[in-house]
This record gives sequence, C-alpha cells and structure tokens, in this order.
Amino acid sequence: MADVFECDPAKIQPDSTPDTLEAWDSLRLLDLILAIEQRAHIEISPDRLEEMMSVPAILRVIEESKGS
Amino acid sequence: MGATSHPQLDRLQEVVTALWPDHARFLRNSLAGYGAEDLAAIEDLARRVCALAGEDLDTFVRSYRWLCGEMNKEALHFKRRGEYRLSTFAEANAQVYSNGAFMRRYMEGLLVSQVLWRNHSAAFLYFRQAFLPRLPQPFRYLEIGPGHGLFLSVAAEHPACGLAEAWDVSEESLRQTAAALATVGLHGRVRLELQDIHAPTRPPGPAAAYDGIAICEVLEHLERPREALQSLRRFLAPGGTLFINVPINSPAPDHIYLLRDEAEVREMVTRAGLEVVDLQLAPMTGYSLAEAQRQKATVNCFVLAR
Repeated sequence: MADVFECDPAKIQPDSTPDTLEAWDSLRLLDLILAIEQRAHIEISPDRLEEMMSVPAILRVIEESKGS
Repeated sequence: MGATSHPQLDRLQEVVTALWPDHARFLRNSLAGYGAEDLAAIEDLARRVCALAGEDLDTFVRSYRWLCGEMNKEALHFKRRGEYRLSTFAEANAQVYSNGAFMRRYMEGLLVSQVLWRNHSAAFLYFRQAFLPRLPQPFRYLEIGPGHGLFLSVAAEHPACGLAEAWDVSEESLRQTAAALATVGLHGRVRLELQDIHAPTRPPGPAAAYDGIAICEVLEHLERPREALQSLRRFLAPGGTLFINVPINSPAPDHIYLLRDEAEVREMVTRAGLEVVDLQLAPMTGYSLAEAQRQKATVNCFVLAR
C-alpha cells in the first residue's frame, strides 16, 4: 500500500481511510487493486470498489475475493 | 470556497457533502487555487447547473455519486487493459444510449460534474476566457453536441453573439438541450438542428459559416474523430476559430476513441487540416499535470485551431 500510494509506511494505520491519507484517492486505489491482484492471483470485482474505503474493508474484500 | 459571495457553489457543496460526506476532500481539491475571477465564473456555472437541476438537486447529486462509481469501474478496466472498454458506436448505443434509465442518471451526474470536476470547470473557464474573446464582434457561433447547453447558453447570451446554432445527431439530445435553454430563458434564441457532422445536410457557404465553432467532449465518442474535424473545418468562416475540448486517458461508459497524450491530439487536429493556435492541458481533480501524465489519469485538452 505504501509503495502504491508513495508514502511512508508508518503513515498507513489499521484505521487509515482516504480522509486520513492524502495520497489515497480513487485512482490510486485502482493501482492498489492491480498490485493486490497480481500478488494474490485474484480478481476483484468492480462492483466492490465502493466498499474499499478503509484498510479493514480492503482486507475483507481481498479475503472474500480469494474464495470466489 | 467562499461563503455568501458564492451562494450556488456553497449550496451545491452542502448538498453533496450531506449526501456523500466522504467526498468533501475531493471538493476542496477541485476548487483549490482558483482566484476570485475564476470563482466568480464558476459560481455562474454553478448557478446554471442548479437552475437546470431545479427542485431535483438531491436527485442529481445522487446520480453524480453513482456516476463516480461507474467511472471508477471503467477506470479499473482501463488500468487492467490499457484501453477503453468499448470501441464502437454500436456498443455505446446498445449499452448506454438505448438505456433510458442509465442515460437519465448519466446525464444528471455529468451535469453536476461540470462544476465539481477540476478538468470540467477548467473547460468552462477556458471557453469564457480564451475562446470567446477571440471571436469577432458580432460573431456567428456553432456548437456540436451541446448537451446541457451550458457553453451554448454562455455564447448565446454574449452581447456580441449575432447567431447561435447547435447540431446534434440525436433528436432526444436536442430536445433536452431545448428544454435546458428554455430553463435559462433562451427559448427560441438558438437554432437547434439534427445533423451528423460526418455528413451534414447543409453545405458550407455564407449561410453556414461560423466565426466560432465549439466541439466539447464529443470526439472521444466518435469512431472517426479526425474526419469529423475535417468536416467541421469547412464551416469555419475566414478567420474563424475552432475550440476543441477532448479528454486524454478518460475511461467512461460511452467513450470509444482513446487519445493517450497531447501529441496524439495535435496530430489528429493537424491531420484534419487545421492549425493549432493554442493548446492547454487540465488534469483531473487532485493531480498536477506531471502526476496525471505519469499515472495516466484523465487530462482534458483544450485546443484553439483555425
């Protein structure tokens, strides 16, 4: 996440959201999704984009995408 | 944003943040750095948008939020594949233009985006501050694909506007433009014609020669945009100016022609037999031009050509 958002990893906290992390916007979230998909060998449905607005939500979508 | 000096901007911001609190930072970024003159012009834009939305501003803002979600889906495809999802008019017609419910929300959302997206508000400013001042007085004006009529109404209201016309290939779109013009008090002041710019039924000549022609966010919807520009060039009066607003790297539900950088835009314009007089770039909200180019984020390209 820090690589994609080009920020200090220490700034990424479990409660980070687009409001607390300046670099987090919709386009950079897509880059994060691509990076996750490549590393985890999954494909995340576009319909789940709106859910991914916090670190826990992103982790949940990743886990659920592994199962689908 | 200002307080009482920009009441319509404030009102729009309030409605958006009430319905979509997470969008507040985006709104701040969208209008950051605009000076007083620009904000006054954008307040005028917001006034027109709010007038068109009327009593249904909440509905329009919900459609705007939905539109942002649809744009993100298209952007994900673009990131994955490096191309737009659709490539033909037939596909766009089947999936978008023929879907009445989709089109209603799409057009409502796009109307709100004219104020809230930096690249869109920048287009309005360029139209007012760079294009219109170049036109002679009086001027004859033609717009292709007028949509909500925002630019068309500004041109038609200009004290030096001697004639304002608009062409569109869709009867329904023209009907909506007519309704929009009536809302802002321009009923009957603009000639609206059903025309395909690839094969217009009116020949170029003294009765069809325009000092200013605007084609804004149309070319990316066409399979043959260069040919469309070639056709339009014939309708420029001597000394006339063509204003082109076309986005680069702009995935959207009905975008079919991908332009990847400024060079491709210049090439398209010059291969259409036109000379580029001015070219400006406006990146999407939250991006510097350099970052947008690096990230292949949307950049709107404003061209004045003759």
